[in-house]
Amino acid sequence: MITVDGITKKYGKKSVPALDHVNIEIPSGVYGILGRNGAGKTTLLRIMASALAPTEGKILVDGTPIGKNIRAFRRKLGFLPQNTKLMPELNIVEFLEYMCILKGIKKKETIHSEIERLLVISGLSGERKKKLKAYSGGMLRRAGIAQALIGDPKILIVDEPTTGLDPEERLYFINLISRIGSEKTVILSTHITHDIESVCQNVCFLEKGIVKYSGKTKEAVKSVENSVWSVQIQPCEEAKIREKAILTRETYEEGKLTVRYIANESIYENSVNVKATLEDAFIFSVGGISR
Amino acid sequence: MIFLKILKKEMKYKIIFMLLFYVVYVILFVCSQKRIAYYDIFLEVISLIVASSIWGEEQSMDIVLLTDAGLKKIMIARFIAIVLALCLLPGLHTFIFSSEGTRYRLTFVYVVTIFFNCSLAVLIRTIVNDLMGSVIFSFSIYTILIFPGILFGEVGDKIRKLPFYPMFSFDIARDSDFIRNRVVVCIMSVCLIGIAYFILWYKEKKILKINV
Repeated sequence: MITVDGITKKYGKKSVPALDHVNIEIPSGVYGILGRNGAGKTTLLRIMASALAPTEGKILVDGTPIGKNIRAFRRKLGFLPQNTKLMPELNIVEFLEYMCILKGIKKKETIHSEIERLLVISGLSGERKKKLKAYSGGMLRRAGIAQALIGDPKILIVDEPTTGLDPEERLYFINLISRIGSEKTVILSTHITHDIESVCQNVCFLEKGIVKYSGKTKEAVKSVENSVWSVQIQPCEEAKIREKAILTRETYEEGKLTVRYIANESIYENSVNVKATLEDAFIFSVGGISR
Repeated sequence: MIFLKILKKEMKYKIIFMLLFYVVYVILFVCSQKRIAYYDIFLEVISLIVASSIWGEEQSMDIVLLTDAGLKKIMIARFIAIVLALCLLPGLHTFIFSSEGTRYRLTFVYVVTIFFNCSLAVLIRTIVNDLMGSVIFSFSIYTILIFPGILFGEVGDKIRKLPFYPMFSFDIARDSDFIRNRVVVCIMSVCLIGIAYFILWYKEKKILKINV
């Protein structure tokens, strides 16, 4: 169990905090951190990974602050930052070999077997001779996951791994995360709600550095169940609904507009109650779409 | 032990990388018979760029920070690899091709100036925490060091003649003054890299202190 205990982060003394007294409990399995761009996801992950010092607060693993034995904690940890370029001039085997040395693996045989294991997990066995600069975005992310899994860590932190990937690579990656999450604690940050809904048992909604929700993913969806409505209207009537409810989606088709909104009860004639999603729960908890 | 292994790997990658630059150098300057005219500027500019990019973006620094080796060890290993990769061939080239009288002096000038430039660029990269920003900042300081007279008038000219001034040592007439200048610049370079090491040490210490 990882505990984020009152984490606050300020960049500069008088600035608005990037994180404001964040308290969350992260059990094993895949845990999702969902937030808009600039919500503080990357800052929180970097603090959890011990790559950035918080202004206040602590990170505890099984009740022990990580600073007590940082080396032991880091050995238990795999980290894949957002949009990492890795080392473009190397091929995957050279890169992993170098990372193994940096992570303190000394024996050549151990390094060799570790690389083979990681190539299988990441599905890069057939790409071992290609330089990393020739890899596609998805392959680079898999190479990043491979380096994060060196030494078989118990905790894996992954920052927005699916951003910019094509649908097939995204699915491959999400399935890979789900598979890894069956044995480890995986903390996944993203702004793609569908990714979180499909693999995360628990989730946290972060908005401007403040936790808006933390708990089971299903419970989050349940909180807006029976409150999500869909109705077809004339485009000029949209403002009326926006005044009384939180709009989540708008779809234009043949001059008509279908809107999806969240409200305790139907606020427009012919509204149909529809199945709630995590996206609805998130938009509701952050108070609607701001742009 | 881990440090030596890292150094070996870094040397391998840096020297392969630098060989490409020297191929460009040979084609551009040696073949066009202008080797000495552009030699120092080419090497000094290259050394600033290569040393400034000792770290990639912040994200790749994070990956390194979380390993057993940590930022400090890797910085030192990479720094040694960069300096050796940059000094090896120009040093040899100068030593072989320059005239009998200036051979040692030229080699000493290039090697120490590259060492100084690399230390300066690595320190700036450690402070600025941004690749492009640090390249621009390093170039600004380099320009100030190259043109002190133009920028600061008489004061600049006076500073230029100080015994520890890192540039233009080739113009120093007396051999003893020349050697003293180069030794002092070497010590200054070690101090710069020492400050960069201290900054990284403090950064790592701060993370530990708060998380206890």
